[in-house]
Amino acid sequence: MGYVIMVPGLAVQGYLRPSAARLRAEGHEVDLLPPIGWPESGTDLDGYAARIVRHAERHGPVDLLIGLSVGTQAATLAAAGTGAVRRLLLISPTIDPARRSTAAALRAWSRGEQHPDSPRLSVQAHDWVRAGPTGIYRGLQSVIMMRLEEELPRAADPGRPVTVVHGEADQLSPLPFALDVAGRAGARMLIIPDAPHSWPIGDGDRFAALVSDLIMEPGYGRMPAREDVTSADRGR
Amino acid sequence: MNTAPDKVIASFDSASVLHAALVAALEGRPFSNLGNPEPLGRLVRVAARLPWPLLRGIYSRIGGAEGIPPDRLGEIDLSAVASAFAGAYPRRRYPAAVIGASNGALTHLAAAMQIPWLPQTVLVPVSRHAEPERADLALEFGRRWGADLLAANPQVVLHQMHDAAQDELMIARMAYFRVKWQALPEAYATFLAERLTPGAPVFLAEDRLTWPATRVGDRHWFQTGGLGGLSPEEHLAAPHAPAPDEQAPEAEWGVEPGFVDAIRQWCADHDHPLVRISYRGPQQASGPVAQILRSWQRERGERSDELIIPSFILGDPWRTINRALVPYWTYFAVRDAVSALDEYLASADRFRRVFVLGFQHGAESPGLARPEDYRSVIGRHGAESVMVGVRTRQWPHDIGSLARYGQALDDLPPGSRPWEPLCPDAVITALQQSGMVTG
Repeated sequence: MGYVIMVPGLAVQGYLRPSAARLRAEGHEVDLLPPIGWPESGTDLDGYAARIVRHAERHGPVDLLIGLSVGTQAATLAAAGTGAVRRLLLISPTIDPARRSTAAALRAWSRGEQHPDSPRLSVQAHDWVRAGPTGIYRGLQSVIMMRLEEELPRAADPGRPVTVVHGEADQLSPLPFALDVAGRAGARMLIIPDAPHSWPIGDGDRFAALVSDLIMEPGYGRMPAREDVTSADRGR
Repeated sequence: MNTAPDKVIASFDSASVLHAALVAALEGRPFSNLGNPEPLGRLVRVAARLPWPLLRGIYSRIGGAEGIPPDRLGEIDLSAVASAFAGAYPRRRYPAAVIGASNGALTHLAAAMQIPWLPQTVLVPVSRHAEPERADLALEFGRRWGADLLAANPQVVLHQMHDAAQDELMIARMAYFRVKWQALPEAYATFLAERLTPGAPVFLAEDRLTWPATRVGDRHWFQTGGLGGLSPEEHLAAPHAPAPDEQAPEAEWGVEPGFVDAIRQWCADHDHPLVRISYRGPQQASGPVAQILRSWQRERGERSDELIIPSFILGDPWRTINRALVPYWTYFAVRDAVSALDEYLASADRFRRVFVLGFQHGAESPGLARPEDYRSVIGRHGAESVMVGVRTRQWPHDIGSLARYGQALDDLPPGSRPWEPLCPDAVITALQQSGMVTG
């Protein structure tokens, strides 16, 4: 089993708790970090990535750093800044060039998705209140111009395995962007049938199987046994 | 009449629709209503409730409305059409590309690899009111007006096609000017140079199918009939059929030798390996492609016991892959395509279920395959047959099926396993094993 850090999307975290719990049930140690936009995380992408680096170096090495949506950008910057991350998994990468303006990003987000597994508004609203409009707006401004396609090759450069995931039904992060990002970084690209942008919500089985596969992949050295680590934000 | 690139190519043509379906798959979008907006799809579903004699007139009028006035042919710029085809694909680098003949099996293969296809042949519909059985008058119409199109587009060969059997409804209102590039359009060359990764292979869809044709001019052929239902001899035995001079590349599917030379030269000049997928007739690619895609599904632990039969332009590569369906494309709903399906099923491991998409062209044409033909063949090989989105009692007039198949495919269970785009090198190896690629 491995040590996993999950970096959620902009100003939301609750929708990922069942996924994190599922990984823990499989025997993984999982830290689900607070999202960018919340008061404890701040709204600056570089600062947020630096926090992830500190967390990884304090508690790691990390078998798998998982970024989701906007969290893919933070996870990429963090991985590029530390050797404590062994493997990177980016799910529904953002933000593609066509949406790199406030209006375009909000337009895409407001259209939402019709997928039955997409997060319920009540779950998201609770998290948005915690961020507040300022936290959401500033967080968005910070991530909007970051070019993932240029940063990811740096994160993958030292031979770190990277996997990019796109959900078949994702309406927010276009497939060509995910393929472009993966292609430039020499990353493995996976497409999940019948999965929305917010995957792995509602799909614990496939998520747990993917994480275990990545951590156990042949040729990838298992991490040594780690000291037991305690942390207020580890949620175990 | 607008001569913009998207207005001069027939919206019902194999090249334009297969290209649009592949663009959708590369954008990660389903392909409902043959790429038309949902309001139009709703309209088609509603209109399909009309009695066929009434609907028949509407159908041919709408199709006929696409025709270009012949006196505007000299304004058509086919290099702009090539540019529009290339420009439709997402802007990114690709690990390979397909170029050449239209083929629905190969567009499914390209979707699995997530690579583009650049068509070699397109259909320019030309407005004309005519008696469908008078092929001789169609030829004279082409002689009168074809020169304008050719003068404006020195890189193309015109293969006028007149199929009174399968295109009966359409050719009463238009002439079929199929054009083939005999050189590599500049937009294609630029696309390949800019979008391919270094050393990426270029797959050439090289359909060597020929047809006895009448030479009208230096770059102008007239073809009586078309593939499906009747043989060339049967078409040519009809009254008023012009006598053929020699064999020429088949108007819709065949590849122009000059184009093959051009792409071979481009690949040599730019250090990209050329992979010639060589076959005779569009149906021949379907079996090997189905086997490659079935193996791909098995390798990732996906189920592989459900087959889908896309028909002509009726299909959806993105949904097909994500519903874990093995595609066996048929070039038209005709009995010889069903015979080829029979042969494939006899050679393949048993499928549990076969989903049939039957393209409805609205004509009781010779050689037409009916639902019972599919059911009989599929049942003989131990599989359950399921007609997708079509009302079999209205076959081949159920025009509404063109706007129903998307929802019907959505109702099928999704695949269970994540998939990686199929590796072009693996495809080359598999095509070599199938004998479609040599060397």
